[in-house]
Amino acid sequence: MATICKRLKDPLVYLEQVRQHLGRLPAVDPNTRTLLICGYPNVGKSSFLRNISRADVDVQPYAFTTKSLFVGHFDYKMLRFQAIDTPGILDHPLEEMNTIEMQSITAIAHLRSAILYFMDLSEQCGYSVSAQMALFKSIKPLFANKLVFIVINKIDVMRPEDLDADTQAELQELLKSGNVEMLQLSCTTTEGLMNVRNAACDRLLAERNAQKLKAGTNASGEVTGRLGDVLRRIHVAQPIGGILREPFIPEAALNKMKFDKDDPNRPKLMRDIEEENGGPGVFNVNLKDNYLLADDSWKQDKIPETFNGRNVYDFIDPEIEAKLAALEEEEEKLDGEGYYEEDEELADAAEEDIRYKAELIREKRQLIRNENKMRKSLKNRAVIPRSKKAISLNKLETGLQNAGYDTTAITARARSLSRQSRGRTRTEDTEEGGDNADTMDVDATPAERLRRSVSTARMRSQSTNRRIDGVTDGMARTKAERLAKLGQKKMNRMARQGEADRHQTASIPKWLVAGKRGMGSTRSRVVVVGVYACAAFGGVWRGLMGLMGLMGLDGGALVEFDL
Amino acid sequence: MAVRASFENSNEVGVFATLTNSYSLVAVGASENFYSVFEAELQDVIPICHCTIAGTRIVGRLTAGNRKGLLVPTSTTDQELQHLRNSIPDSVKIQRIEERLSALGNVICANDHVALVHPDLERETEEIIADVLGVEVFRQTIADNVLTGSYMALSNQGGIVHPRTSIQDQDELSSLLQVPLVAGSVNRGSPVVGAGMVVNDWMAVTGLDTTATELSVVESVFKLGEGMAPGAINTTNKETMVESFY
Repeated sequence: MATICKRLKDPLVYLEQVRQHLGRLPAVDPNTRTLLICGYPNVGKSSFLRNISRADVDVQPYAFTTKSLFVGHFDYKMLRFQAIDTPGILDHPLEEMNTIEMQSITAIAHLRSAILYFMDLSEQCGYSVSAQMALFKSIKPLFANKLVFIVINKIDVMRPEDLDADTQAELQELLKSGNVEMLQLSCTTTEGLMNVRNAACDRLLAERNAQKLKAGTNASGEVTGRLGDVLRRIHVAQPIGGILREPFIPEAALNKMKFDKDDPNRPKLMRDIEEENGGPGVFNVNLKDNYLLADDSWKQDKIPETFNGRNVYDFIDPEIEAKLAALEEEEEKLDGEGYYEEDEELADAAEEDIRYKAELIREKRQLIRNENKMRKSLKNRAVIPRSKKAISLNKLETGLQNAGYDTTAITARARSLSRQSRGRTRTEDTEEGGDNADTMDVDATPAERLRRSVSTARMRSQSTNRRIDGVTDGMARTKAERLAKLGQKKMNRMARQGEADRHQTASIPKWLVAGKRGMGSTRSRVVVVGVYACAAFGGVWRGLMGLMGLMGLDGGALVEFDL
Repeated sequence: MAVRASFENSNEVGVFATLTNSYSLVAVGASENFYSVFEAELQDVIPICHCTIAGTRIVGRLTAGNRKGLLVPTSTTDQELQHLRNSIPDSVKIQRIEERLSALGNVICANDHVALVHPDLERETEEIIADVLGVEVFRQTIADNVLTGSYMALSNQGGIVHPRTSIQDQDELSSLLQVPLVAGSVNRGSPVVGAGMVVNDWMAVTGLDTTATELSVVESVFKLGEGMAPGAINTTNKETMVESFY
């Protein structure tokens, strides 16, 4: 990155120069009211700009003092004008002009403006009058559709009247040929300076106005677009009808001296008092100072907002009691005269009836609303869905009967269901002795009696078969079984231990898992106890014993092997 | 005499002040600069009153008044009302109005003779306006805006209305009010002329952004200063007006 920047140094330096140059360029507004000052070098263009505007243009007694465009601003008729000072132009073909001169030419050609062509008849600038007129003629094509003025500068030295006859005639010819006005001024004595400026500005304004009015009007002479808005704003609506609205201006206002903030004897304002007392934020204005009261000593009186629990301002009128009494009296009088009594005739019987019924309806509605509210409020109870709630048979019956249904079948069914679940079934009775219910009781046969005596009482209700519990029918059951088998399949195939297999975790005696060990832990060593040595180690064991025997160790001792 | 001023960097002078021929109300601000603008022109001529309405500073929009009276909204507190009563001459009636449209400055536009009010104002309010301000009351709109007080600045000598008011409307209003009217703006093109400025028969205060052209219109139509007449707007100043507004 740094290398790239270094390599681009020259273009960057150039760009910086361009930036600075652009920054220094004057802000020329191409659309606003513009006076363009042009002419030979040293004819007094820059002096004119200095005199009419606040622009600080360098004025020197040599040619090409002004090397670029300078813009000055001034106000005339409440409008802001810009005056552009251009570098001097010499009378030679366009191709031979230098960049400084070209700036002037470009400005003249492209800016919509009033052009002031400056001439110096005294020839102090070093160029003859005829040369100056020749220049005017040669750049004349650039003045198309523009206001042009020939401004004779330095009239304190030489006036047009003092010219010799030939030159004067030539000058007049110049003025006549184009629509050109001649103006005269002297920058040194400021004679005619403002006249020149005002004449030029007036002509420019009139020209621009005419153009705008023309542009805002269509072919049939109707005002369109924004021009209509402007015309609305410059219309002064004068009242028709002769009432004179008298203005009310106090004498004091007419006699009041104009306030001048630079006058040392000016009247003191609140602002000055504020400054003396610490400025804004510190000074607090006393609102009571300017009260207009009968007695000045009352100004700072404190008035309570409430007194004896009453708002003081409700009783601010000293005669409020009397006025209230008068009002009440009037009210009573009106009441007595029956002023407030309404005409009651309209309450005839029909309307009364409607009102009564409406009242009933409203009451009923309110009751229903209350009931619903009560029902809806849970009061900390659990919500039981209606379908889960028990309904008594009675209720069902009455409900259905009210609705006009026959309930006998339903009742019978419900009864039969409820009876079936109770006690022992009497299948034998119903099957064998159902139709001969009124037969005599017969003693049981001895075999029967025996069977009954040996049968044990059933102590608990029968367990449900868990395999069919929760499945609707045989089909569902087979399906469920099939699925269960499928789930087991993999495990069975690999002969894995399933969760249902019996399993006993290894139990390690306490002395195997706990104990005092100096270094390490039980995990890091294996304890082999000689007496518990298993058969697998038998051969090794015997070998070890033999070895130990050779080494003269006691074979019955406990031997540890560190692994 | 027309002056430019701003209330704490706001151009809407008419929001923070009320100006009539017999008194002036100015909002209590952080500094006295705004108050002193009025003081410089009106000191010892008419009383200038620091005040708040309902605790707010938008006194110009909440109150409506003329030389004979002052109307304040129902939200005005008792203390504020008492303060106004003490500060304003006794010849001026002060009335608190119970009105739904409580920004009275926006809905009432009055000089000492006529008042133009919002079409939806209550009948009782209309009667109170007529009684307290001593004026004829007309329900009107200005350039189809119901807020007459916002879109119109009015004195006994002239008036400015919303810049888009049609010429026909201007003529009608002018005949109603019997004062010359122009359509104009303040504060560099703001159409709310009622809120952007305050005016009485000899002075006007506009926002700080008001252009020279706008100020010249104000001075001409309200006849403020020597030799000022509304006729200047479409005669001597016509070119300037076209140039600056078009």
